[in-house]
Amino acid sequence: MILEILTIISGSIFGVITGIAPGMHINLLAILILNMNFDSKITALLILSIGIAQNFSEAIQTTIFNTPTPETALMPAQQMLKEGKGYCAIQKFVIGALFGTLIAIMISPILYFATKMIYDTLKEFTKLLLAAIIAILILKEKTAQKKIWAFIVAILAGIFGIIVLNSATKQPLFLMLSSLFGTSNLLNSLINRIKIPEQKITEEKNSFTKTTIASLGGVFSLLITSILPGIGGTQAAMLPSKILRIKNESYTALIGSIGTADFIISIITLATIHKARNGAVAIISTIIKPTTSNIITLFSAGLIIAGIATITTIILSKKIIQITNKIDYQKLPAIMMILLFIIGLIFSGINGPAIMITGTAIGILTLTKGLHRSNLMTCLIIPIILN
Amino acid sequence: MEQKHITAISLISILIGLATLYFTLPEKFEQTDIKIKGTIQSVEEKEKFTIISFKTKDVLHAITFDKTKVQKGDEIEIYGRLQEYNRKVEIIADKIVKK
Repeated sequence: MILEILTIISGSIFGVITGIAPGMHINLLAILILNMNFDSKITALLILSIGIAQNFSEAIQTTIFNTPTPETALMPAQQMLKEGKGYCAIQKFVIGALFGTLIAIMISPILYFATKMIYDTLKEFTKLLLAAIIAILILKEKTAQKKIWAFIVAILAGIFGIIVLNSATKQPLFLMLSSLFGTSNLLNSLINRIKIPEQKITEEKNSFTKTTIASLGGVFSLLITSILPGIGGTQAAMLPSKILRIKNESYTALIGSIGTADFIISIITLATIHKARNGAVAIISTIIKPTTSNIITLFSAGLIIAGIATITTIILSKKIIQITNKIDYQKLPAIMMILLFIIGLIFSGINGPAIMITGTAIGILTLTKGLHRSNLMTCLIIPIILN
Repeated sequence: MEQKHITAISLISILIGLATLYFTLPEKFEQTDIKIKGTIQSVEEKEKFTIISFKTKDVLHAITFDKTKVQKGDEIEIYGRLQEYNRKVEIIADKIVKK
């Protein structure tokens, strides 16, 4: 038992640290861990710990370093950063992630029976649902001119997604999302000389009810989307935010809940419909069976990981904000842009910067036309529809 | 909900997780079934089980507790679970199919 607990603790802390670093995704780390030939129990617990913990600290990556993941791409973190509420954004995301884990585990018996039923009902309509999501995104723009531009951006991002995802480039998701949502935003800050104020580390009160509703919305939408092939966390976030009218700060908690609940629901879908959308859970499934006994152990570990990751991420975010407050925030976008292009070059050679320049251009077009950034999610949705 | 409440919820979550783990942690995780193809090198019948050595890329040992009619040179497909014994990986065969 001691070895297992030490694995969970060290995996959680390592996960929080690697969650901050762009490109250190759990799918990449899981393959490395798999090749280390640990005992199957240790391997599974280590992958789970790092994977869940990374979801907590991705809030820091998205808010401070402007490098979103598929789950955090639409997080309103940048807006909150401009208001000096970067710490608040991270805190709300982390609370959402904690609640998402706890709620998904608490209602896992319901989810167990619901997954198979929903899967059988909805599997025929996946592409239709995705097409409807694109139409809603475009029609959501207020003026006719904006709707036309949203259509153009959606098509451009879709073509961009098809080319990047079908190329032999390494880390295509990182390059695509970092450029569409990250470097474009950083460049926009530089061009418009957007001033980022000093970030306040204040203990804001969070509404228990609002956070619970947002996290519940995240878990239930994920229940529908996670059993449909290809629909990701961000698409999942769109449903409850529209239906439950979840906005701004609660939306941050909702996005937090989706990342962690994805692990719990993927473990359940593995047992019920033999599918796991989450990459790390799919890797775990190659070494252990989703039996009741194994699932209970993984969920128990999930509770420990969520607790450790919450406390660690909040402490770490305070330290990072204190450091970034000392440096000239106006220089940070330029530093981050250079860093991201270097990472892109290391990962994917000359293809990396080429993809990032294209993605940045499409992202900038979205920002200059004042469109919702959710239109850019067609980079993931259109390739799935056409697949 | 203030920061201290979040910390308290996190600590309760850790404690519940530890308690559940203490009572439910299995000795070993039940492993995923594997399927592996190979050519038999030798068949050694023991009193209660049979050891089959077969070649894939490397030579592996499979243990079966059922009576089997396979022999050296047979092309087989084994369904079973991986197990570590004496610091070596072996397969506990649930089913052996002659190709």
